[in-house]
Amino acid sequence: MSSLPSTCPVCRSRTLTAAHIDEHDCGHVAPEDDFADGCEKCNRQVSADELTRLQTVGRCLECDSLATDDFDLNLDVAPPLPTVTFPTLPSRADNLNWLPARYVPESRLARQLLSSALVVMVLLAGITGAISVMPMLESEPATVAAGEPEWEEYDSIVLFRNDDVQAWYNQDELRDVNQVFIDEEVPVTLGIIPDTNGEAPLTDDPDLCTYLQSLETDYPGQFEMALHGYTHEPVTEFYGASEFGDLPADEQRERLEAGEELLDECVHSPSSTFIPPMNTYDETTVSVLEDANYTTVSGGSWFTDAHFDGNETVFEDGDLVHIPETQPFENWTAYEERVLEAEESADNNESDEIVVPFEDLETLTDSFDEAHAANDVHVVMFHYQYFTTDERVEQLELLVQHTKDEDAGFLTIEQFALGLETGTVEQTDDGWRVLEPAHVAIAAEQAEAAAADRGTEDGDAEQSLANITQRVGR
Amino acid sequence: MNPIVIAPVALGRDRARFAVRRIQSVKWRSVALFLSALVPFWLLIDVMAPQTLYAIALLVVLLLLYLGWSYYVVERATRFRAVFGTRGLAVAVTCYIGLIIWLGWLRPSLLALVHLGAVVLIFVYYWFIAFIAFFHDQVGRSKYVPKPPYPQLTVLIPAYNEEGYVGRTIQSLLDTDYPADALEIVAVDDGSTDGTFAEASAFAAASERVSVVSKTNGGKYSALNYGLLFASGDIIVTVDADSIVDPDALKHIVAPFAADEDIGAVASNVTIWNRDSLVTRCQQLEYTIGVNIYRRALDYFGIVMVVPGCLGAYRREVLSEVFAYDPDTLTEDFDVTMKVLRAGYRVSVSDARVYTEAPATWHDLYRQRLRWYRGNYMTIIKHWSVVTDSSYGYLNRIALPFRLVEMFFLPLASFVVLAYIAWLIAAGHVLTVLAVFVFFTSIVFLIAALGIQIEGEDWRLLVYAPLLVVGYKQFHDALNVKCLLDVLTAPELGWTRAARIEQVVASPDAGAIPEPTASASPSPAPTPEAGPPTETETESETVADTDSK
Repeated sequence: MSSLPSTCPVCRSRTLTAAHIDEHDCGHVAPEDDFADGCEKCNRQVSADELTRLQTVGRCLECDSLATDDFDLNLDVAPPLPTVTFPTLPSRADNLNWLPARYVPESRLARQLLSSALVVMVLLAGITGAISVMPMLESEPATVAAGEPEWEEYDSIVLFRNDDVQAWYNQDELRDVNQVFIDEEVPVTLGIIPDTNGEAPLTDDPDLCTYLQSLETDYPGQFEMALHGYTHEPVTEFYGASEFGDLPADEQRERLEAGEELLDECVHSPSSTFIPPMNTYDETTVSVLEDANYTTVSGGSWFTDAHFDGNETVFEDGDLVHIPETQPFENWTAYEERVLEAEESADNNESDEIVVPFEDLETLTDSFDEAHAANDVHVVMFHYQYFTTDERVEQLELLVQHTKDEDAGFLTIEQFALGLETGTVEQTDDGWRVLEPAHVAIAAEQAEAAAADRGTEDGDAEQSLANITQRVGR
Repeated sequence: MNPIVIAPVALGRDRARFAVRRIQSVKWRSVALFLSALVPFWLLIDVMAPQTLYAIALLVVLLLLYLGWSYYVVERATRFRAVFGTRGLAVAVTCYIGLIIWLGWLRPSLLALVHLGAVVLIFVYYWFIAFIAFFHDQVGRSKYVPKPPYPQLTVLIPAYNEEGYVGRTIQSLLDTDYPADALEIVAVDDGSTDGTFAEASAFAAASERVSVVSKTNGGKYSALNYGLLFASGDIIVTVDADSIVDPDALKHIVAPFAADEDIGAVASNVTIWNRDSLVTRCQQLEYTIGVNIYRRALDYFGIVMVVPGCLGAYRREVLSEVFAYDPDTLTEDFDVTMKVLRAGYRVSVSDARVYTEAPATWHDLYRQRLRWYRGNYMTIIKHWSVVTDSSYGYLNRIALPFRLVEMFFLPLASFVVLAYIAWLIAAGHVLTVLAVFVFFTSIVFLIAALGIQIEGEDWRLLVYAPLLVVGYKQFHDALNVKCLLDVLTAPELGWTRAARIEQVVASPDAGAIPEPTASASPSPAPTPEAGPPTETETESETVADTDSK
């Protein structure tokens, strides 16, 4: 194809010569002559096979401009422009054209008002859409933040049990001890006495109840509210001293119900764990607890070893999981010796002032290390009221940190017992595996089980979601 | 009365009048829509876990620091420009991720990371886009007002088999409100096998301002380079042969050159005229809330990244300086814009409007986007040095990082999110998924409403907002991922072309061009059939992402 004009369109000269237009491999397009000294774009020497001939055109020898066929020069009178039809183009003016003509007002103001009304409708629709699904979404980021439950593996399990939480007494110490668990993000079971010595009902201390409720709300799944007897008085001499052991069933039931009533009023979610005062209880206690839908009882291992003949730290007896403490923080043997000494010196006043000594840190960490090495469950019992100095609080902190340094899993007593029951806590060949966050996983399992019981298949996922929401959001 | 006493009163009155005028000039509909678009964000903040909020806040602070620092080193202290650049940002973001995992604000999992990334991007992206659009609307649409003297202009129309289209394009250019003696139109027939040459020649015969040149078929870049040899104007305007320019488009598109000598190229606003199907309406909404407004945002920094092939303008000497168009990408418009930017010129956007025909079927859209997205990746890879070289200022510090996230992170993230949603549905959490869908649709809906209000578009387009959350969006994400893999595995790819409505009507086989194959090096003497067509559909702008999660 070539297109050589006869006249230069710029200077009208008729002295035109043919010029070849070539394209180099690099994309540069120029008259052939320009490539003689190499390509000015890529600065390479140019061989003939790197050039593609695009066209041959006319080059004016007078003005050096390039020219191709020139139509208007060939005709005396230019022909009319061909007619073309354009499609309908969208324009700002016909924004409202899609409305039937009778609805579009005539005046500009009315049209503007109509547009504004449209905008208001649109934004209301958008906002309504967002707001209406918000309640459903609230659980969504929470579950994402809390994480979908995931299996974690541990060498051992550690449970902390803080006994004797009661109205009016040493409240600052209670807060200091709980703060350790908040800071370390370790769960703990609180053993709450509903009515100490029958003189201090929980509900008389609104500050304590408000505080306990705030713990439940602010740290979901971290503080378990367990019933610790009723008055915590040594009513019988069962295994030395007991509030429940050796009492008739009716009397035990009455104490339990009275305690429950106060605890229910004080906290949002009382747990299904019972911590018998003085760590002692009998078969009647177990059966009364079973009737009252408790799942777990936590006494002392010195007692369960003797009374239930169990070789395992954790065992089932009479449909209840027994999870006794395995390591007291306080050194009760040393304490008794000091009391005896004081009594021997016949100074009763002195015996009242004896400070309960703690086990030294090494004993406590060794005890944990031993349980950890055996892939066992380690249950540490302590009483907040004795953490009266910074050094004492620090010792607890050091113990918690020591256990955290190892690959140990932390749960509340109830989470551990329910986890075993629902299958979210499992013993493995070399330790344990736990579906975490434990409280979320357990709630989901329970909801699913409940839904399955009801036989409503459709509702189960929603129910479990609702349950998770409830648990997480609490 | 004493004039000295009156003066403050008069001054006070003037001020009051001025204030009233200011209040009257505020476009309240946009204000209402902008503020309402913030409501869903506020609701989202309300339900977020505090840790997620801290993580987001920290990242936003980091990004603001980066933006502030970028402004400082580009505008004030260029000696520090190598400090805390894109590499620094990459390191900072990596450290940030490590830090939030260490602090326990983020679970160390891909899903959690994508989730956080998506939320932050939605915040930054939508808020940023919405804000710029809103701001643009309030202060006036463009800072460049067309005024004489108008420069000498050459319009190049590359055309390959554009019978039935090219005449219309030439006529629309002749109809423009531009001084006749300053306008030259050169149609470049790239070896068409249909009546393109004859159709254009009829105009050349009838009008002195029109000329037609023809050449052996070689591709769009080649046609444009060839056309430049015949162009005498100081400003070169390129128009696709299927586009229809607005009557005042040429005046608008040259205005920025007069206002700022540093401006090397000017982009236009692309509007789709064939809005008669779902797929074209989706594209219009995509153009409205994505491309056009996004481009306005980058305009503030003079780093508009694509001058669309439908309608774009360049200074003649700038095009010569960068040796015009290269053959090595599929999106010559994006490529040449990058070259202009790299040469140190600003690229701006004007109020010029051009109407184009969008692919009317999903299959055609697929073929068009296959070329755009492959071309985008090729161009980014070709100009990779801009990512690392701090001397490129805003281009290096803002435009490229933004673009990289858009091209590499978002499409992949989209599939992680999709897998998570599939898992949620499988696990029975259908309601949650539905709620999330409604929520994000409402965000896109409100942003789209703002875009429509500002661009003066058709309100009915809002109906398609949900598709920009689910459906249309995933179509593009999947295509992006495919194109990325294509470019990485077969760097030399051929053109893919969408069928033309009016040609399909005339000849049913017109658009049936075989699936592109990885072509060998450019054939030395391409036959008209085998050579790459001088495709006229261009504009390779990546569309603003409407990521929902």
